[in-house]
Amino acid sequence: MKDFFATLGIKRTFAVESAALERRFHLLQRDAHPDRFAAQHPDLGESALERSSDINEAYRILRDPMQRTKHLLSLYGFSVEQAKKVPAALLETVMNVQEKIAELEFAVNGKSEVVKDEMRPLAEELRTKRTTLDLDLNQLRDEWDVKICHVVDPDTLSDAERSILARITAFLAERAYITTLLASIEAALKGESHILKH
Amino acid sequence: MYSEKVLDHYSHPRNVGTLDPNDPNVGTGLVGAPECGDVMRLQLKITDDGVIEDAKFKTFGCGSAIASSSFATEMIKGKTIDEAFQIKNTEIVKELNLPPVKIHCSVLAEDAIKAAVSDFRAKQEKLKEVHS
Repeated sequence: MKDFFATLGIKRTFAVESAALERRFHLLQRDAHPDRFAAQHPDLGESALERSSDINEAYRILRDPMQRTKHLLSLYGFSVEQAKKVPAALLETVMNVQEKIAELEFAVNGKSEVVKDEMRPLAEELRTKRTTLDLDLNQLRDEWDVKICHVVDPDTLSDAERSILARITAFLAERAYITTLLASIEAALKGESHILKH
Repeated sequence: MYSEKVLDHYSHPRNVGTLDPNDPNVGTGLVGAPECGDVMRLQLKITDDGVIEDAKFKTFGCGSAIASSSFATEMIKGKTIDEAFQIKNTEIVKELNLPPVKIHCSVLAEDAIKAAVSDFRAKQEKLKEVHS
């Protein structure tokens, strides 16, 4: 597994200042530029080309906050896509919302406004939940960045340190679920079909 | 991309519905897949001898998720809870001819069965504690 933080020679933090990252990228790219080598040492051109494309790839991933987060988590064996643990309470809400959306689909004219009025507070509840999640996520990410980001070997993480990454992973999965659901609610409220297209 | 069997279960889902979640003989499994937003509820009515006499489901998701849960309710009726707990998602994949991108739907159905059985067992444990 590639370590893009190492490629760019920066610390493994969730928060990265984008201007500093860009400066770092240009500096490294200038030094590694294949043209600088090709003229004098044709043999070195090949590895410089490789290095140059690694830097490009690392910059592309790390400049995007979500991809950077996922990459950092993956370095310690965590995957947001594979996260399965969704709190039961959220699943109940998802079920409720989906039932309302289905109800709306079959509602006759007068009834649909009633269903929509029932859906709005559910959407509000989900938005509030997402805001709370974001606050928790920021706190956990800060804690990692300030205290733990120097731990490079996953095996040397303490249980408490691992649990920070585990919670970040679970919260991000929960957040993704909420975002998908909010999009279906908004589409349903606008009168668009909710039928999942996948 | 859907097989005939998936289409059949999707357009004529078996055992859609709900059972009383407060019935001590009913186990409820509620599972979801955050990446695609699917949610699946599977309920089993279990006799005192541990045999599954009825199964109902409600699933919001793609055709394969609906077909997987519909098929799961069909295959599980008449089995004991121990047998049900052994069911592997690969049996569902094989029966429904699910393509690789839809295997997670069958995993969801397997998880739902396990969750429902576990819920039933937890309920029975609690009842025993109350009586003793």
